[in-house]
Amino acid sequence: MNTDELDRKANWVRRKALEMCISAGRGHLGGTFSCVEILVALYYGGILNVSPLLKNNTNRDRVIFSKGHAMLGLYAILGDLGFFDVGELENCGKNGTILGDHPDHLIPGIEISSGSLGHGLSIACGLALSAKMNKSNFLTVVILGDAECNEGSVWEAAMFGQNHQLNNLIAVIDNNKIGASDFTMNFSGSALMENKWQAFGWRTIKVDGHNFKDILSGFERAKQPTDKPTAIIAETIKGKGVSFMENNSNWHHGAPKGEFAAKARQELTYQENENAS
Amino acid sequence: MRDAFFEELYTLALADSSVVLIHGDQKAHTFEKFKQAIPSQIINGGIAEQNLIGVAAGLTLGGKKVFVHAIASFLTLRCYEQIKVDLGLMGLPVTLVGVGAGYSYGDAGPTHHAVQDLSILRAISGMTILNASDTVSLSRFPEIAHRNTNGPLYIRFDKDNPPPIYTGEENFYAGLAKIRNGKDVIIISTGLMVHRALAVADILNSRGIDIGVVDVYRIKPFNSSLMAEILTGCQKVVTLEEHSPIGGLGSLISEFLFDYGLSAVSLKRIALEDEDCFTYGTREYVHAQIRLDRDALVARIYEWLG
Repeated sequence: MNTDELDRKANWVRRKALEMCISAGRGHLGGTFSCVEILVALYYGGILNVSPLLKNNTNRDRVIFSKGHAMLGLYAILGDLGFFDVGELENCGKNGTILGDHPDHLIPGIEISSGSLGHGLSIACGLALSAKMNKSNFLTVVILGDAECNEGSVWEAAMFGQNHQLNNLIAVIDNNKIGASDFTMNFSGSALMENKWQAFGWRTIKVDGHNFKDILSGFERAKQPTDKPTAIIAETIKGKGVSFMENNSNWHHGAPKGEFAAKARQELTYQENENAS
Repeated sequence: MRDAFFEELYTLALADSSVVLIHGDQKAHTFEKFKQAIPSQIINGGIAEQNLIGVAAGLTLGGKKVFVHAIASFLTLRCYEQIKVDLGLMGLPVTLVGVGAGYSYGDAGPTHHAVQDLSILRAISGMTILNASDTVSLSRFPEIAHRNTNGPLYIRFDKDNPPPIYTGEENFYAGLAKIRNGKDVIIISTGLMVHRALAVADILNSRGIDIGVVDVYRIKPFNSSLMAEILTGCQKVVTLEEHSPIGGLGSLISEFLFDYGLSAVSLKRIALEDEDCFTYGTREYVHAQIRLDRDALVARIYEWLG
């Protein structure tokens, strides 16, 4: 896909996530919207070797979605790509759905159960290390939130990844700078995310997390040979795409109703025939 | 007991290159053999136990047979959520190898005592728990763990070497074994305290009480039918463990007796008190202070029998 097509896909994913959230009456739209372009770039931008046909192939690339609460966009993408019946998206949040409020490993296309933060990077390190041991060349990409990086286990894993020179591992930090209740600078301190990863010996690449050209170029650079794991610091906006949700911790969780729902839909206008995947 | 376990694991690892041992900055003589012969199969992951569990999960997803080793209390209590989410919930057959059961690290104080690990790990669905009473049983556990494909498995053992109970002829797949015949009273124990149970039984036998001893070396899944068979005709049961009274062997046996319709059997649960131990000294000294030494146990059981 070219960047225009990716932009249209991102718009579709946001609108689909919004509809799933409204239909369920709950969901984490803020963190979902901040990582839409990252996920769309990964799945539609030619970065990853993944598809429903490869789901049991041990050489498939692995996406570890550590910030599990932001799963709405990921579900939309996996449904769109045919990992499961796209109609299941309509059931999200309903009794008996396979699509829980946090992703589990039973969902086709989901590699690990996540939801409790700070687990994904350790598991990604193990996968990346297994690839090296098995002389397999698959790539492991793990998506973390910036507030998730409060968890100490993230830094245990960061140390491990560097020590084992896991150059087949990319951590993408969705740096939207807001946690569940407040701006991260008010509870995590002011040290820059990029500096932290550099201090742990990682190669860092900073990108505009809503600009496909920048994101794709970041992933290309992340694939260049190195003896380090790579952290892509994606500068993002929590709630991106819906004006009243942007940079607003009140929209970490919750479904818009009434005029809010109408306004969100208006801002995420989307024609079904635009989703030409 | 450590090397009894790791010698066997080393043999398995030589034959199966998918075996990986990851430890939290631990030492054992056998680790040198790993480093010499199969250095890629041993990893010092540092004092970062939570990460060890996650890495083990990832390695397992990548096709490895992973054994994680650290001090029992840190490996289990500190990493409880990693065990729940990364292993239990995803059904990954990672083996946790914890050294320092109960008061093994007595002088190190209550931070190092592993006296709640059985309670909390019993609550992890799909978990298998093996608790070694001697090096003979312990040396068979690596093979059992290596064959396991069904969820996480926890192996727990003492720091020091107790004398052998088993001969090596036994099949350790049964989960429990009657190691002393007796029909009036049966002491059910696990781990190091099995030795104490035998010593107590010797004295009580000499006083005319026909007393048997059962070693529950697999806490979960518990072999209810074999235990029921062993208890046939027995009306009095004592459980003996060096573990919290909440959720350990005594709890397990009381649940079993009730659930199995054996609630007519009288049960005396002997465990640690529900309090932390700030008494320092040898294990024998500490046990004497808390009435877990042989003579105190004889008196307690004798008194209970009336």
